[in-house]
Amino acid sequence: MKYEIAIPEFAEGAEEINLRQWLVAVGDTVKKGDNIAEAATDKISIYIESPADGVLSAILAQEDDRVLVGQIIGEIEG
Amino acid sequence: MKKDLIWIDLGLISYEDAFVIQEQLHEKCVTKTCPDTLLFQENYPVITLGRGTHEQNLLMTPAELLDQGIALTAVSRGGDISYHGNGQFIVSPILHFDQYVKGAHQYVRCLEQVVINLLAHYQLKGKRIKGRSGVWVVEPETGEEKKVSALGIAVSHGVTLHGISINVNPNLEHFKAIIPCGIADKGVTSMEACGCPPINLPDLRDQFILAFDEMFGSNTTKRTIDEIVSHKR
Repeated sequence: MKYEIAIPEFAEGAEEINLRQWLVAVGDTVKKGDNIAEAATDKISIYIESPADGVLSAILAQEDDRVLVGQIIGEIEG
Repeated sequence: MKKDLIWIDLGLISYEDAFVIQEQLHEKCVTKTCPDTLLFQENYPVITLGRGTHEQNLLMTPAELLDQGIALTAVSRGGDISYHGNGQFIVSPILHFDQYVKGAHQYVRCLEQVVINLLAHYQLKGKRIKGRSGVWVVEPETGEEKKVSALGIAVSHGVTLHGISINVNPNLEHFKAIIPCGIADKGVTSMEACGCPPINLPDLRDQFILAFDEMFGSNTTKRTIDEIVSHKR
């Protein structure tokens, strides 16, 4: 089953959000709740959690990309 | 219904030692084995490099910093470069912020408002500047808008880390080692430089707690660090 990784809604209101870095690579095994990516506004670092146990199967946004709340940035195959 | 928080004051402590404690508290807060917490501290001189640091904002070499007794360390908060040192009051709220406010952005704005309200208690008029985080005041001597309070936070597993600093009476010369927060066209000041009489940090802490509780609808009570986590200094 495929699970989408999204920029969390709690980042709403920030003028600009950038995907700072991926903390795992495609093919890595992750657990639900693991921090797998970091996004940032000018003053807030936001650690993004894996939505499920599985393997990071796709990266849909690259490091330093500007991203939006709710945007799907990757997928987990669980 | 008011939310119960605890506060812990680490006193004067190195940034590194305090961050170890902060991470322990964060982990406990995430697993709900410790209540949401306001962690207070005052650091020995240190320059911290946030996740958004631009190298050109560090104006001294590590050797020059060492000569001035200023340490240098990379940190996990958002934002650019920052200085912490004696005479600066630091608050790190470690809490499930979404239980108090809607969104991380609002959380930041509320923290700034707590500082503005706190400054008002000391007859200082703090304000925000659009597009720039932190709290600003007009320094009487120069008539210039300067930053008196800086912030940078991180959110991991829904719980905040890092927080906000208030310049009470730090050595402002130390800020010349950096372009604070990457803002080159405005300077940094302190409450003392703005005419406040000498301020006792524990008194300021108590006023901060009152202002925080009023803003966040909480009831914050004292605990000691030894009651919550095991740690080595």
